[in-house]
Amino acid sequence: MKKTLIICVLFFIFISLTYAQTKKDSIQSAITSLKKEKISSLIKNAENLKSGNYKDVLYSFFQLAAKDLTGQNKSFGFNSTLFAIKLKLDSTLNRDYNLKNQNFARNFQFNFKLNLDTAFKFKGFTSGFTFAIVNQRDHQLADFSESYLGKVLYPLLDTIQKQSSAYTAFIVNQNLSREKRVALLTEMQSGIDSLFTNYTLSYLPEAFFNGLKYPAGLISSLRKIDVISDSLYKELDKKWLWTIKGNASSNKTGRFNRANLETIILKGKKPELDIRAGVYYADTLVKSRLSRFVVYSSAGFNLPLLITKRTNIIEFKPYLEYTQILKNLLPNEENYRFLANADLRFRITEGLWLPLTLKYDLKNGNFLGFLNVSINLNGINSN
Amino acid sequence: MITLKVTINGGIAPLPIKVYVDNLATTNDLRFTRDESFEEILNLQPGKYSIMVGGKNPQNGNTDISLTGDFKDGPDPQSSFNRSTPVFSVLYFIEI
Repeated sequence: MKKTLIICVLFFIFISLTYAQTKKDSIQSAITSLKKEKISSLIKNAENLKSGNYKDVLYSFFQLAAKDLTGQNKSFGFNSTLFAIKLKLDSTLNRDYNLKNQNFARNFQFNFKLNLDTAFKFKGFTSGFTFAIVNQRDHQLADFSESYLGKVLYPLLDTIQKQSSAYTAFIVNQNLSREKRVALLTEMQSGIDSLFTNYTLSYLPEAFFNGLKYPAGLISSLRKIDVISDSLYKELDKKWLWTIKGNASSNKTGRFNRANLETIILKGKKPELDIRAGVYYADTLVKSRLSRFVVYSSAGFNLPLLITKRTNIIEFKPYLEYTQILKNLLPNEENYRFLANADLRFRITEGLWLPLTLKYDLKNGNFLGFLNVSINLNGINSN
Repeated sequence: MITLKVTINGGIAPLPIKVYVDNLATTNDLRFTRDESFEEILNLQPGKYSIMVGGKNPQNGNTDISLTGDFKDGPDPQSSFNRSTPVFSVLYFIEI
């Protein structure tokens, strides 16, 4: 089964890359600037908001990305959250009582992007924002007080406290020098830390276990806590995430010529419901400048194909996309498009994804393939 | 009079932090839990005590624990800790 999956994946990569390279010029000359920008936008959205990466959008502090490397519309972008900036100015915002009052800043991301041509000359810039209207997937605000977790954690802490207190009394009653006493207490604390870090009892002093019938129960309780915690966090990841984002772009003279407003709803995990809708404005040049409005929507399911160490390595998303041009239809242009698409994303490293998007025009039977790469820089780790 | 300060960083504690104050000579012990960071003044009778603070950190978060005040002895092995393991407990010995 695994071999078949690997062969299918490799075949898909080969076909997509080959197709993207050989058909790139003909495809890109055929599509309008509006359509190119829309596809680029969709790739960017898919890149940023899939389940394996949705947390990066809202919680990573800084993201630097190079997009559309094989296309004519190259770009370099910078993303950050408002919270990241505030945290740089005031590190106490990371404390629980401050952090939980920073929901707007933590869920508000902004971005700037320089758009470049094939010779890497300036073509304009894009700026925008993403805001999570509903974010039930916030791990930082996870509250498990109503769960079964406490029924395992507190008995474990009670046992450790009972043994620690007895061992402390044992040391204190020996009337040792303070230096010796500190050394023995340090040894015990290091042993407890090793238990929590490495799941080992080896570094705890023998007298610590006096009167404890089943020392290995400490480790089994810790493992049980891990299992329950993982399960609870996975449940969080299935909850609702509803975002709204806006972007505006200028040309090389600084005049705004494109704008986009989009909302995205995610729910579930395997599969993950993915619904998007938006409105798009753009100037395009034919004989004269035309201002065009487009509405679009898409719906599909994102499926993790390969998961290792609780991280999605490969994701696949089939989805349908509908696009309608509301204003200034070009000659011989159809006013709507109905596409069947498939995204395949590969996690190369923790912050590096390789997404491949295959688009099939249901009306005209055309295939399109694209490649882009995003590098995520995990920024601040401030207390 | 001593002050126990616990500061949770990087999120909220998924479960309340639990504090154990044991008088080593009597059974006059104290237990309490706190949902978030706190700074608690403990008015303890003279004697020898073990104080343990334990709990669960927020995901990728950490907790600072410190004990300050007027002591006859301690706090041992040290007065402050920072712990970033998912589950943690730290213990003090003090004499007041």
